[in-house]
Amino acid sequence: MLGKAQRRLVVPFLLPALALLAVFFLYPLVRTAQLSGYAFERSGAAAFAGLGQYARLAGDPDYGNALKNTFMMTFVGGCMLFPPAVAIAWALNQRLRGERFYRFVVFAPVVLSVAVVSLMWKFLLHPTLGLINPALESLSLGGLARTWLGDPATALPSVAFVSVWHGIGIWVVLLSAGFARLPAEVLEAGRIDGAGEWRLFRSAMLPMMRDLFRILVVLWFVQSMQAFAFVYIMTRGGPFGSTALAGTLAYSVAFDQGDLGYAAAMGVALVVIILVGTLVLNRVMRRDALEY
Amino acid sequence: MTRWSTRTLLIHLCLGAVALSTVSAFGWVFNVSMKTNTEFLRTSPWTLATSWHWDNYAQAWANAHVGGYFGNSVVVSVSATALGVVLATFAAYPLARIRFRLSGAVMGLFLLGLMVPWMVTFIPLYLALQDLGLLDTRLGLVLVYATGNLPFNVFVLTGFMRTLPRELEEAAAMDGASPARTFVSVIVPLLGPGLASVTIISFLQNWNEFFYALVLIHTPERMTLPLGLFQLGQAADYGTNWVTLFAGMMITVVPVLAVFALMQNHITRGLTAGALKG
Amino acid sequence: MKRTLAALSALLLAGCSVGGTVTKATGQAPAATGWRDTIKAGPLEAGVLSAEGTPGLKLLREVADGLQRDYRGSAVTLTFANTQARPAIEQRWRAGQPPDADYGMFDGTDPATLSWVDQGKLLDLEPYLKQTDPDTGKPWLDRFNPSVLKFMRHPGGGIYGVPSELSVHVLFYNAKLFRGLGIQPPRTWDDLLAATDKLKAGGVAPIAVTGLFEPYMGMWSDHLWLRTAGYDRTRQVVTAGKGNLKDDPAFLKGLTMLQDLRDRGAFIKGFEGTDFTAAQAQFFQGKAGMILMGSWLVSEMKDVIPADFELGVVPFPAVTGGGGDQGAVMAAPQEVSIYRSGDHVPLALEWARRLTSVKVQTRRATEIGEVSAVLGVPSPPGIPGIDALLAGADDLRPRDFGLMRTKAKDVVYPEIAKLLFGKQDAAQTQAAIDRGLRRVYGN
Repeated sequence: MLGKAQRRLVVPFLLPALALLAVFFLYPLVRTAQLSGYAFERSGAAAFAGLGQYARLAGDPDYGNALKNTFMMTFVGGCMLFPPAVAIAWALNQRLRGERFYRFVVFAPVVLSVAVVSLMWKFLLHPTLGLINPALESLSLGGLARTWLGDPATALPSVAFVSVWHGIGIWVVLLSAGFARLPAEVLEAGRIDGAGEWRLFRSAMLPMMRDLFRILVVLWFVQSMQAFAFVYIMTRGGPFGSTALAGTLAYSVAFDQGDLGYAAAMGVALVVIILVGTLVLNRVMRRDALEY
Repeated sequence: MTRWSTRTLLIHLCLGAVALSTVSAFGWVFNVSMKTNTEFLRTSPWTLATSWHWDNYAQAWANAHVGGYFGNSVVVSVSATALGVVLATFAAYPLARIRFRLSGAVMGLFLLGLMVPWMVTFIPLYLALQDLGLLDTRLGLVLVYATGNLPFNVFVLTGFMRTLPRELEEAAAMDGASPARTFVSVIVPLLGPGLASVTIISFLQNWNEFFYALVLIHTPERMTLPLGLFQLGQAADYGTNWVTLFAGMMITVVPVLAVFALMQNHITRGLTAGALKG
Repeated sequence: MKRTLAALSALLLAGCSVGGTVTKATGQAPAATGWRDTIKAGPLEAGVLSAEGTPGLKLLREVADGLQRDYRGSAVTLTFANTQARPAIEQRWRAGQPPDADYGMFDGTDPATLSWVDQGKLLDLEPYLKQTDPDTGKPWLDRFNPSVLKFMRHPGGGIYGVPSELSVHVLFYNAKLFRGLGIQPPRTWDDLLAATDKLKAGGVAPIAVTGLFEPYMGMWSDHLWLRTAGYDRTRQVVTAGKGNLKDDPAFLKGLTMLQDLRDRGAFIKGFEGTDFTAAQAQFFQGKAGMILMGSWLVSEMKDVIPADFELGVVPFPAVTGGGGDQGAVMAAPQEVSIYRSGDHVPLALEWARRLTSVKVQTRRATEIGEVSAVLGVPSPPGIPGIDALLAGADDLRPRDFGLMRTKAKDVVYPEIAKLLFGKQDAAQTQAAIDRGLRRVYGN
């Protein structure tokens, strides 16, 4: 009976959001799919190409390389992001002295623009004028010094690190809202039973936040698959394509080469890949959830 | 007791390290904003400015048209954020807590909204706004931004609403409250931290958004701050006028940080209120 | 969900046309004879390349104010139309609401830009350029250096852009440093190698270069190929997709010379991770003796060049016995084009005319340091010797062979970067580029 009364809310609650979505998102998306069926000249003149753009895409090793890098970026960045973000969010919920200050500074880099953060790190990572290498040398760790952005082995992780450094505040805010929502009584009961903090964290907090984790991991995946700005500013996809991403490649195809149809095909392919990836992630993480 | 304090010490050490990196970053930006261009390029990154060049700020203020652009940015970001958060809260509720046909499909649609890279959909979007007569208007930008925020907001808020105990609605229904009323007076107040998070994040996204503003607005009187900052960035890249860019950065960043500091109070209060009720 | 999407897409597909070409009804172009008498005041939007707050924009604003004074009731808006702003501006062109005058829309040597003309978006300037110019008493067209005409002219006829400045690629050197170490400015490749060794012996890195922007490293192979294989030959292979590098030993020769330079340790330590601003700063700080760069370098770095810095320029060194063009200089003009269907075409023409006048060009040269394509304009004082260099050039050749706007840039420049980084030798580089070209051009 409650269900039936509630169901009356469904349409009015959803309609406004869906209307906006239809006009400003779905319609452009469908048109984009349509664009991908045409071969464009820079001036917008188009000739029908059918699925030709997709055939071209399938045989394009640059797109393959960009996808590989994009997945790498997602994975490496995720590993750099989640453990510290969870740790910080947890720590911020420990009724700590100065908690508000910490909360503030952890979040603060998010408000800096990507351009400035990239620029700053380009200087800090500079092999001779920068800060990182001289610092390593002064700690007699000179062997660890690298030409960070200039070495195909370290460029991608370096860019991933900078983007995590910049954006971690958002994830901490979301995670710490999750920690804050945990029922205090359950945790208190655990403490009274003599459970250590680590045990509580592992066997009470993490399982209770599983839904949130699933959402955040999916979000990270979806977001970083579209990553663009840091690479565009810091390395332009170099050295030798080792940081080229699906997003930066599509940008260069669309705007440097004026090949809008091909860029649209790249975009549509990326959407499909993200969609599949999301479904798989969701599946995997839900299955995990059955264990407890 | 000792164990407790060691742990606290450790936490302080780790958080302190994170805090240090942030504070140094802002310190760096501030320091550069006080240098001359020659100093910036000729001295090592951490050398202190020899004298304070506040004139960089005056220059940034004038060149980025901070006055007018700032107003536009406030109007656009605040309206878009409010619209996006309110609509998403409504949309998330049925998706999170009511079983209905097609709920999976609708959720999928919102999810899809997260997955589309902007660099390929901008042409159709431009044409859609042109057809609606919304091109080069602030309203158009507000609607586009709000739409851009929706998927993320719905996604996160759905997640939060699902963590609330089922019994809330049942109890309210027993008390004779209508489902709409239950939503407004029982569910929404419990969303404090979740709402605060999505509001902050949406606002920030809208405040910093550059590409659509560039594509959809071309009358200077309607431009937002990131466009002004972009011009400063170009002057830096192609004229080594770096210090003005950094001064411009500080000008755009400080108000946002202040707002965040205020919002933060709000979250804390929201939390305590929730705890008292619970 | 699939069904919903399918239904929606069918619905939308049925009702919409493709593209974004909402071309306005094309108006009649104004008559050429006496076009200046038909100028009417009105709003004018001109795309510009200078950012807010730069001296370059201030100067343009003065030109715009002059136009507003002389045609009362005109309002000239200057819209930033460079780099990242291009996607938005080009979309406005596609949608039929572009600025009245704009940059980057036309280069006669670059096939990728010709489609704007073919779509009827740009005004043919030739009839107007042939009219007598009131300032000089000679046709407007005669103002321009004949060597830039090929950039202005559409291969199929007509002129669609007038250059407001010229970028010339040259080898900059630190003259004081060279004098101190007793090094002559390098005129030939052997000179360059000798200079490299002497600079190294003198404890200075020979050449500054960025490793974070591949086309700037590609400048080295571009120029070497210009000297060893020649412009036409190289363009055929890399831009037009006809043949392979291995068909002509001159290409391998060029790459081998570059490898030799690398092996002598000519490039500054850590260049792999150095961005272009930092690389240029290193040159002006005296940490490197030379840099191969466009003539914009000086106006770009103006604020940070030490007062006592002595700059020298030479053309890229000639290659003794090379089969290519020894006297050619690579260049790119920045050209202003005009929207054919704009509401105020004569006013836009007047803007372009004033922008390319000797008076304005002279100010741009002396105050900002731009190199002009207009005859009788002094060379910028910040680049001593650039006038002699241009006068001595056999020919101006389009920079990078027009490669940047083709897909082939992604198969050529990354391989050059690998060569410079020491990841492969010249022969491997050639093989890798050939593989890439075969893939891109299917030859």
